[in-house]
Amino acid sequence: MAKDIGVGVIGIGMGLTVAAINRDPASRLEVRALCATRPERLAAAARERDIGFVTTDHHELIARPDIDVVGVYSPDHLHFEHARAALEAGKHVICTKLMVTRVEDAAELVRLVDRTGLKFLVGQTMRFEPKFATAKRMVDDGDLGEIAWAEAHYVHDLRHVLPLTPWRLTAPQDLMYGGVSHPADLLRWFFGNVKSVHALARKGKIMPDYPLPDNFLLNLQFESGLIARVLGSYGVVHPPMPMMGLGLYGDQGSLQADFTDQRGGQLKYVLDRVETLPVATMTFEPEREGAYGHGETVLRYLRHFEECLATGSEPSPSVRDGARSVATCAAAWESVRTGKVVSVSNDY
Amino acid sequence: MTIERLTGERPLVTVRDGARAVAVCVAAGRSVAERRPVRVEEV
Repeated sequence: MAKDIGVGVIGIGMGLTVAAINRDPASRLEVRALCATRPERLAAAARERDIGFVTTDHHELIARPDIDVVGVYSPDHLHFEHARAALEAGKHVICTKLMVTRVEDAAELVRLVDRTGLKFLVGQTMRFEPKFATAKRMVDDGDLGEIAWAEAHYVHDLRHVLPLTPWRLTAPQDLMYGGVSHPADLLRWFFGNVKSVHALARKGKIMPDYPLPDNFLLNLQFESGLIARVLGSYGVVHPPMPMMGLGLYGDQGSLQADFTDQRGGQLKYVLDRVETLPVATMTFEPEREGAYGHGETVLRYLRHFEECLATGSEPSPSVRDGARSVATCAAAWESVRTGKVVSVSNDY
Repeated sequence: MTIERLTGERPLVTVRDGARAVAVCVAAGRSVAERRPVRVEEV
C-alpha cells in the first residue's frame, strides 16, 4: 500500500513508538518528520529510523506540506500549544494522553476540531489494551448484566522514570492529569460521563523534589447512576499489585483485569450462569515493543485513526472524550481543594 | 469492658475503638445521604 499519509511527530519519548508504523506495509501512514528539543538525540533517532526531516521548532514540522497528521507526544503542559498549532495549520492530530491540562484549553480544541472538521484522536493507550478491550466487549455484550459499581487504578513508583523525563519535576507534571487520567478515562470509556466526584490527595515522601500531591483517591458517580472508585498512586514504594487494574461488578457476572508495562496480564471473571466454572482466567502475553512496551498499543490506535481518515468516521477517543476526561480531573482537583463533592462539566 | 474488669488488663479492642468504628460508619451513612463529606467528629 502506498505510504501517502505523512506524519510528523513532536516529542521523541513515547512519540518514537509511532515510527514503527513505517514498517507496516498495510498502512498508508508514514512518519516523515520529528521534532524535539535535544538535537543530538533527535538526529540519532531519525538516523536509526531513516526519517528525513528533523527540527527543534515545532512550527517548522507543522508547516511542511508533506505532513498531514501531527502526533503530539510532548510533555503534558505543551500538548495544547502543539495541538492547537497543528489544527490551525489544517493538520489532523493524534495527541497522547492526557489531552491538555486545563478545561479552557480542552474547550478551545473542541471548538477548533468542530470548526475545521479535522480528525483528532486522544492516545489513551489503555482503551487499546487487549485485556481492557476484552472486558469492554464482555460488558457491551451484556455478559455481566447491569454493573452496580466499578473500580480502576494506576499505581506507579515514578522514581525510575524521573531521570528519563526530567520535565516531570521541572514543569512539574500534574499527576492528576498525567496519571489519574488513565483509570478515570478507562472508566469513562465503559460508562460514559461522570456526574460528580469527591477526591482526596496526599503527597508521599519518596520524591522530595516533586512539589505536588502524588497520591489520589477519587469517588465517582456517573450520569447513569453507576458508582466507581479510582486510585492513582505515584508517591509511594510500588505496591505488590499490577500497575493498572479494572474491576467491574454486575448482577450476572463480575471481572477483574490488569496490566503492567512489559508484562503479561490477566482477565478473571465469574459468570452467574456457569456453575461449573467459578473463576475463568484469560491470560495475555506481554507486549514489549516501543516505549514502556506500549508499541503494539500505539500501532492499534494508529490503524484505527487511519481507518477514520479513510472512512470519515469519528476517532475514539475523540476530542470531546478527551475534554470530558480533562473535566473529570479538573473537578477532582476542585474537590481536593474544597473538600466538597464537585459536579463535572461535560458540556462540550 | 467486662473482661477488663475481671482481669484488670486492657482489651486489645476497647469499647472506645468499637464506638469510633460505629462513628465512622454513621458518618459514612450521613455522607451518602447528604452527598457531602462528613467529619467523624460531627456524629
